[in-house]
Order: sequence, then C-alpha cells, then structure tokens
Amino acid sequence: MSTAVVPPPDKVLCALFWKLLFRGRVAQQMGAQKTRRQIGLGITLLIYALIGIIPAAFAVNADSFVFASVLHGFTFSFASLTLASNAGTMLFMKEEAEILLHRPVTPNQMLRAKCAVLVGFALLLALALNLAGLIAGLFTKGATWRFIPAHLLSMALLMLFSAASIVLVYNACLKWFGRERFDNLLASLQSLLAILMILSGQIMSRMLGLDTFKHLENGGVWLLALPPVWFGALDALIGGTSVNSSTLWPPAALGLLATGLTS
Amino acid sequence: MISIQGLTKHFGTQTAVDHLTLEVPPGMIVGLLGPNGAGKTTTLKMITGMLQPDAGTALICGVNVVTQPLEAKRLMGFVPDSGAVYESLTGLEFLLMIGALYGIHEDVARPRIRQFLDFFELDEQTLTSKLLGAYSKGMRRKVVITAALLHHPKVVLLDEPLDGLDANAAVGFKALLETLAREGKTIVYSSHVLDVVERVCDRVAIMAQGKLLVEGTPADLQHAHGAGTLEQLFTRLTGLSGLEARAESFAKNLLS
Repeated sequence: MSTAVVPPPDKVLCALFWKLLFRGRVAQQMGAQKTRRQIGLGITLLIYALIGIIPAAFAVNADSFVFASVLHGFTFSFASLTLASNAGTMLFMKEEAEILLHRPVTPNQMLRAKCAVLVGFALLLALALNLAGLIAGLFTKGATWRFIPAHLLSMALLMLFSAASIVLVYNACLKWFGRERFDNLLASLQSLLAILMILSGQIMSRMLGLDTFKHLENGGVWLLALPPVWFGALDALIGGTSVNSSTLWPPAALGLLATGLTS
Repeated sequence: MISIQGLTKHFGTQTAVDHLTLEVPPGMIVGLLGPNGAGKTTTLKMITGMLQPDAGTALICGVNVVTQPLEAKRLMGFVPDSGAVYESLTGLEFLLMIGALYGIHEDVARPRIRQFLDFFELDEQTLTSKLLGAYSKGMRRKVVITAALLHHPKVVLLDEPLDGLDANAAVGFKALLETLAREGKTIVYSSHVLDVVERVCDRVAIMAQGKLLVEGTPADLQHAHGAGTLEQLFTRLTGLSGLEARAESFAKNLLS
C-alpha cells in the first residue's frame, strides 16, 4: 500500500475544473485525441498580451488615472468576456450532478473550486492583457514607480469583482428562470454580456480624449458608474496622478466596496 | 446494508416517492422495478444524497445520508442511468480523479483500474489517449461502472447498468454482481429489463406511483399473486394488464 498523500478533495476539484476549462468544448467536439492544454493556454495568453499593446500605445500623452481606467476598461471587456463565456459552461454543466454529487464532495466544495479556477483564469488573462500597459503606464503623466504595484493590485481586484459578478448574475438567473429555461437562456445571456462588455471597452477607449474624464468634479460624475473608473482611481491614488486626487476617493472606495460585496 | 424508513419526495404537487420503507441486508441483490415515473430513480437519488428527501431517512451501513452525507457517500458506489462523464477527460484521467476523491492514491488506483480494464477487455491505449467524448456508449458505461466500484464500496446502487453493454460484457457484469454479493456487498439493481432482474436478483421490490407495492423473492411473489412469470406479476401489479391485446390492436390499426 502506498503511503503517498492524496490531495484533499478541494485540490482534486480545482485540478479537474482547471483541466476542463482548457480542454473545453472544442476538445469534446474534436473528440478523438487528448489536447495539449499548455499550448492552448500559451496561445490564449499570447493573443491577450498582443491585444494589450493597443491601449499601451496611447500611454505617453495620457494622465495615469485616465490610462489606468482605459486599461481596466480593456481588461473588463476582453478578460471578463472570455470569463463569462467559460463560466456558464463550467458553473452549470447539466450532467455534473450525476458525475459528482454522489461522491464524497459537497456542492459548496464544488462551487468554491469552480470560483477559484475562474478567478485564477481571469487573473492570468488580465496579467497578459496588462503586460504592455504596466510598462507603458510608467510614462504617463503623474505616474511614479508605484504605478506597477498599484495597477497589479487594482487589476486583481477588478478581476475578482468581475468573476464574482458573473457568478452572482448566473446564479440569480438560475434562481429566477429555473434550470430548464436557464439552459435555453444561457446562450442569449452570454451574447448579451459580450455586447455589454465590448460596448464598455469601446466607451473606455474613447475616454482618452475627453477632458471630462480628467475632471470628475465638473460634470464627469456619471463616470462613477463605470467599474473600470473605480479601479483606475485606485491606481491613481496609489501610483500618482495629475488629476485632483480628492475626486478619486469616492470611485476608489466604490470599487473596494463593490468587490467586497460581490465576493 | 441499506435501511430506508418512510422516504418521501414531492416535486410541486406531485409525489414522486411516497413513504417508502425498504431494508436491504448485506450480501443481497435487490431488484428495484417499476414503470416509467414509478419513483425508482428519485429513490436512488435520495439514497445517494443527490436529492434531499422531504421526509424519512436513508441509512447506509447505519450512516444517515442526510446528516452525514460525506461518510455515507464514501460507503457507496452508484452507476447512474445517464452514464454521464466529463467528455473532455481521457478515461484514465476520469478514473484517477474519481479515485482521488475517495482518497485513493494514483499508485493504488492504477493497478485497480488495470484489473477492471482486463475484466471489461478495454484497450489501455484507448483509456489513456482518447477523450471520453469519443468513446462508444458501451465503453463509457464500462468506465462509469469502474468509477463506481474503484473504491470497493460496501453498497452498490445501479440504475440500468447494462444499458449500452454488449452481450459478453453484460454476462460478465452479471457474474461480477453475484460475486460481489457473495462477498457481502449490498446491491440495489434498478432496471426495466425484467428477465435480467429475475436472473440476477435475490429479491425484487416493485414500485408504482411512488409507492412500494410488494417486496420479496421473485418465486414467493409469483406464488402469492398467482403469476407464472415476473413479467406477469409486474404487469398485473402495475395495472398494465392487457398490454399484448392493446399492442395487437394498435399494430392492426397501423397497418390497415
């Protein structure tokens, strides 16, 4: 008999869901042979890193707060979009009950493992997307060396908020519509989320040229409704900015509050 | 052993299982029979902890499924009728993952899996390199059965386990069940295939509309109800008598 230690169920479940996430439906449909997850993940991260060069190119003339908010806008759009499309499949696999629920694991353990995998995946995507921006952000107006740790922190909070919101929205839909109707709605819901996130990304990229964005106190209050601004304000407060910092406290606090409440 | 007392489950206004009481001692194979919608699968799902009963208790070797679900689940192995698996895992990855959930290390699980491979005449190359999504229904069923028995459970619950198995595998599996029962395992076998149940099971329990109608050995029940076969007993008890005449009449209408 082996004396080697078996990982606890939570770790087994995390490893399982991580594997399922990268194999995904493409692997199921292609069917025959095992896919190499490392290559799949590597290509995804490379593509995200390349997309991240687009906002980074606008860094030089932008204020650090505006730039950080735009980076968060991109992250919110692209990483959250990918997360939303994967989360539905992972959270609500119809046959899962018949595979796992009669095994010695609790539904809470399963949900925790799924959330951990989703947050981990979201952070990897976000890191790839922000890689170029992290360096370019040092050259924005008002930025100090603290921009890098500040942006890493706010990016992690944004993705935590994003993953938690997606889980909450899906669970609420499941509760309101019921299992059967929810399955039918899932595809529409994912499309709607995709549209919303692309729109928010578009809005954010246009903010670079808007003066109102730099003067929240003078008519730019509506911007407080945008989650990327919350986390951009957090960036600017820690990493330095040319924008009046007193106007950045409310959105930064809102970001922290929203992350705390959803997760 | 399995001890069920007054197990009840409602779905809205419909009663799926109605105060079911049943005892299955160790070393016994009990066939759970009933027409569609009789409550067999719901009963099995409550015993396995997949569904919470509205009333009653289910004990697995004395462990309450509702109050100590993890302990109870470690004692049982379940083959669901859906034969669901993670289609993007290979057969080996799936079985090692299931083994790990029961605390079985890979070094222990691999030789056990190999035993099942040999028994079911599964190709090792297929198990290690092909994703389960590409398996035939029968091969997938073999993997699901292996996953249910890998941790040497004391109680085995089977919902239509032969579905998809070829004749040779089915014969082998029936012999395996008889051996497991002789070793003291408690086995519940739910199926629509009456002749298989008659051949494999020591006792049968017939359900209809969520209620347990009768329970006993097939011979005793047939004798008590004046039925020549288990099939006759089943149709008589579940109110489906005259089926042959109805089928004949339907076929005539269809062809006319």
